[in-house]
Amino acid sequence: MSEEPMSSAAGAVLAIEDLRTHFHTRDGVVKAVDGVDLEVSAGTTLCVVGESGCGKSMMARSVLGLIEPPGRVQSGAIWWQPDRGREGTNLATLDPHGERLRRVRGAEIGMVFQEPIAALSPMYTVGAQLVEAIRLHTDLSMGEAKDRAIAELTRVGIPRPEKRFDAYPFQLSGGMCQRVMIAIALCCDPALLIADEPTTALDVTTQARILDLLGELQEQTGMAVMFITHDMGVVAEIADEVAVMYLGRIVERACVDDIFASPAHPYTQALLESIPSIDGHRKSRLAAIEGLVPHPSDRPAGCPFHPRCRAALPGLCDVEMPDRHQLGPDRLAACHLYAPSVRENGPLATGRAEPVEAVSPTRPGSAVPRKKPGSVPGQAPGPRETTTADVDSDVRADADVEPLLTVRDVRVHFPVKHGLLRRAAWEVKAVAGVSLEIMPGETLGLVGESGCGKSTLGRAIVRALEPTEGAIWYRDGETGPVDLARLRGRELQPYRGKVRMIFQDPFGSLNPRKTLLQIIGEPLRRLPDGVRPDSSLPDRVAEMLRAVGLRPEYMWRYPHAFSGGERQRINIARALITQPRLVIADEAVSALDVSIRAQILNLLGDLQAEMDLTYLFISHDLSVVQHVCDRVAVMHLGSIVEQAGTDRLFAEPRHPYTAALLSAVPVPDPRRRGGDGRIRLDGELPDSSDPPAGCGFHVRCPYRREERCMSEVPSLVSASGDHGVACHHADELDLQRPSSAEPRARVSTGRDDGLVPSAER
Amino acid sequence: MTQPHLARHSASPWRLVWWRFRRHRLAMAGAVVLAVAYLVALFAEFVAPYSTEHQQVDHGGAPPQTVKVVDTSSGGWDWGLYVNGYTDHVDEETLEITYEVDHEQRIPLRFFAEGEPYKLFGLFETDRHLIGPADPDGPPVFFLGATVNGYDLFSRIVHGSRVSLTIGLVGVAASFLIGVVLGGISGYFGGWVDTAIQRLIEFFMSIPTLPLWLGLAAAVPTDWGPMQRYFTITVILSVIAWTDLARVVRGRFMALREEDFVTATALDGVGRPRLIFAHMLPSFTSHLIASATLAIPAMILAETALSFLGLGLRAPAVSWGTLLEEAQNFATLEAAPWLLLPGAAVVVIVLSFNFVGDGLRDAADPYKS
Repeated sequence: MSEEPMSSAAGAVLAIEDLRTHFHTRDGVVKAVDGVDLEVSAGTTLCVVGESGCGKSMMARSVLGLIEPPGRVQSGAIWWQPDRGREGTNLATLDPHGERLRRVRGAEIGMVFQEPIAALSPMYTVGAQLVEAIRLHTDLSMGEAKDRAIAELTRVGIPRPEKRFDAYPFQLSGGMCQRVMIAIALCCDPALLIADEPTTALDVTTQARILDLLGELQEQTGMAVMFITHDMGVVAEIADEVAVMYLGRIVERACVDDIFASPAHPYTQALLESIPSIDGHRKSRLAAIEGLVPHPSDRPAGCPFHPRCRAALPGLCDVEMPDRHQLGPDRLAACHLYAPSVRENGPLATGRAEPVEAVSPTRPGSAVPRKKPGSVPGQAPGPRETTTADVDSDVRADADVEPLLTVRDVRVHFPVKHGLLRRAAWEVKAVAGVSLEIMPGETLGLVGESGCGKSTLGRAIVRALEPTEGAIWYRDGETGPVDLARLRGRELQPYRGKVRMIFQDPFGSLNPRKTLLQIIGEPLRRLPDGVRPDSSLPDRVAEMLRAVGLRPEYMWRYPHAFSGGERQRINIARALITQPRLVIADEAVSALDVSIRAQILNLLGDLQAEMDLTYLFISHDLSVVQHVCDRVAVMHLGSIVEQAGTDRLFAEPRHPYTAALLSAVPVPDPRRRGGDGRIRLDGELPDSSDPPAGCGFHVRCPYRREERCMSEVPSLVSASGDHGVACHHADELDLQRPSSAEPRARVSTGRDDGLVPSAER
Repeated sequence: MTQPHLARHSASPWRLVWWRFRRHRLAMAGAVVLAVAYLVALFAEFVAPYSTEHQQVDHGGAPPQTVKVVDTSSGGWDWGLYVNGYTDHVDEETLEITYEVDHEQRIPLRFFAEGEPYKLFGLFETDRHLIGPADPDGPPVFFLGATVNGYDLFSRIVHGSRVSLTIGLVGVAASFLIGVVLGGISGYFGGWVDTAIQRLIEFFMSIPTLPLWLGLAAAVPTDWGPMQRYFTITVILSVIAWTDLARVVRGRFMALREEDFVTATALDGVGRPRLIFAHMLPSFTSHLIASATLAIPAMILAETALSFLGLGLRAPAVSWGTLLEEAQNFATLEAAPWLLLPGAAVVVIVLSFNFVGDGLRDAADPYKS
């Protein structure tokens, strides 16, 4: 298959040749990995990217012999040569349970998994687990191993390692556990570290610090790193080499700059385009990749990507598997577009995927989508194409319009029961006094790390739980203002249909025992002025299914027949069938792959325009928030610390926490990698059952000054216009976004210039 | 992760459970055995050659007879079901009767044989039995031997299956009802209701089971008829057995309460009773059925144990437990080891229930693969 010579394997510690890992199931052979060639060289980081289901993890597990029956490595070689002077070993031929491979695992190749807390045993202290790993592969005594373990914990940046040595995994935060996992993986100085989505489950601030740590450790030890991720931002941050994987095959390999500057394979291009870039243009449609990753057992004939590919050549791509074509030194792409015969005949005009040199090298990711807004069939470019300035003026000009929802000093406290009599011993103040206004027709973003109380606030607004204090005024013009916080039981019924919620988990939020008709139709049957069961219920459901891009005949099916993205469409249909005014989208796209996420974001945008919806968009993903929201509120420890129009907030954060959050977001542009002016937060989000006195952020704040921060709680003060910030020193701080000169010039157009003098600086 | 195949798309959850259950071979075998056993219990009078009262005193302790299909003793091939008769010897000193198979004597059998008249389901008067001696007035047959008192063991096991197989069902149904209601209330409402019910469960669980049974069973008046006794024993058994089920239900409810789809349904304006019974309960009924299936064998064993100890049902009621009671005596056992055969029936049924329960448990959640 690989007719061209592989790139020089001189420095490679790991060389995978034509690896095939197949699962022999009852329903046939599933080719999870189907012909992968890769090398990882000492001292470099290879990022393997692709959507879920593309076989990235299976490839990594094959290297370590961790494939469980019915799967097995069918063919291919995995050459492992950590020591230049010694002969390499073919790991694929070793007994998966044998002595040799066990020594390779752990001692020579370390592995870090996605769920740090699940990967550590809750029954042993982290120290005991670390000592065990050390003693398995060395001859150290118990005492020596303990000293070594503490040294390792220090190395991965765990404060007070002597104390943490005796902690159990559940006593540590996710970030700390991931550090422990890294310490275990690195305790025997492996020549290669395989990291399988190690930061996906972590907050963006924690992710940034884990990525920094991996970079530092790599510099110290000179190890090779194979980093598996689906996040292009992370790739840009840490990769040297990139391998893009689709359905068990590597479709493109290049160095990181080439991948981002001139992606060659249509899949790589599409992946990059579907990211809402943090500096990208707001509210434009994202270029979503059509369809889904098919299951490996239904692999399409020919090029596996052709059904989703914009540049597919009929008669060629759906018939013949493309060869790998060398596009330059260390650059490969498996696509017919680069076959000499195709290039000569020049059918490239049909597709957008053009050869390397033709792709705009300036702004990868965000430059392309506007060219082809309607890449999802059946979804015409909607009226979302308004420019930034228009949106801002819309919102601000209607200053006399009454807000749809006014949240006044809402608190949600959860009692923590303790002791024999289950008395409330103390309270977790999940939401500690939040005030917000949501204007009709706008999208308000609510961001913050996990545990900051943003979801709790959302649930209090839809009254899935009862606020402890405060008022939630709802007015929609039909009735006078109503305080939703005071309504009980049946009194809430009229508002259940007007304020709806879209949930995060596309799997847990749909009852598996009900058909779509029952799920989507339920609110209509239950809520006042909904339809009666006998009348047009199926018609209304069919109409709604069509609106969210599903086929009406699906209403007789059960949720198990649908993929994550389709389930999220069902969730949206259920939320919108009552014709609501306000929709709370609680991390509605966080569980989805990038391409699916783009489809859902586009759908939400279209429906907002069509149905005149107002969104409260809760998310931890700042690039998504920046893409869809008109205004953003930043939450930390149950309070809002900053609130402003999206462009203002992203260009000119005034609270140190906002600035830190923004600088932690990996930018999908490798040229902007590096530490110029980045803010890294110390420590984790404080425990909300025992919040620090004064400003909740002062324990982590790099700008903390005097007594005042530690004693006095800052209140949200509107500085200029609608830009509110809760910081004692907001006026004195200079929180320029690092290296944001280029985007700022672009974003602060129109009337922003007049309002924000600092933009001209 | 797996892309469902087309037939799966519109399959209902119960169909998915069935598809998975069908793949569990042992469970399917168990299900077949149980189906046969319950059919036998239903048509006990018809299946058994004799009624429970039919006594052949002169054949007390007769050994099992082998059913033969073809007779080659006379040189030719003489087709037809038959058993050989016995010749008995009475030991002059010990008065012990020993039986020997008499190869000369042939007792022909036939299907739908004429026998004692009975009323099937109390409705249809008939005297036909599935199998029996062709000549109703001829010598009796004992497929599984006779008891010491001269009852046909096969007929008694068949008749006894009625009590033994149904007491499990009735008992589990009763404990199921208590368990689901109390567990559901406990799990959904939580708070002090939960605390109270949990303490109650703990109290019941702390009572040593066997002494409680013994005490309660001993308290049943001796002059009560078999039906009353049967009913009382069932109640006693289910009073003990509901606690486990209640805990399972409570745990499920607690886990489900946190699920997004439950919150979503509440936000759809669904009231509490409908939320509990139409949305939450169906998502674990299959689990409940599985755990109920696994609870039935315990009931059967409990009845057998009680009756064996003479505290459950008593003669003249016939159950596998009362039949085993006769096997208590070591000397009788030595002379007539086939008296343990009701125990074999218990083992087969209990194993079958366990297999079916296992299969159901594995299939109960069709969304995990």
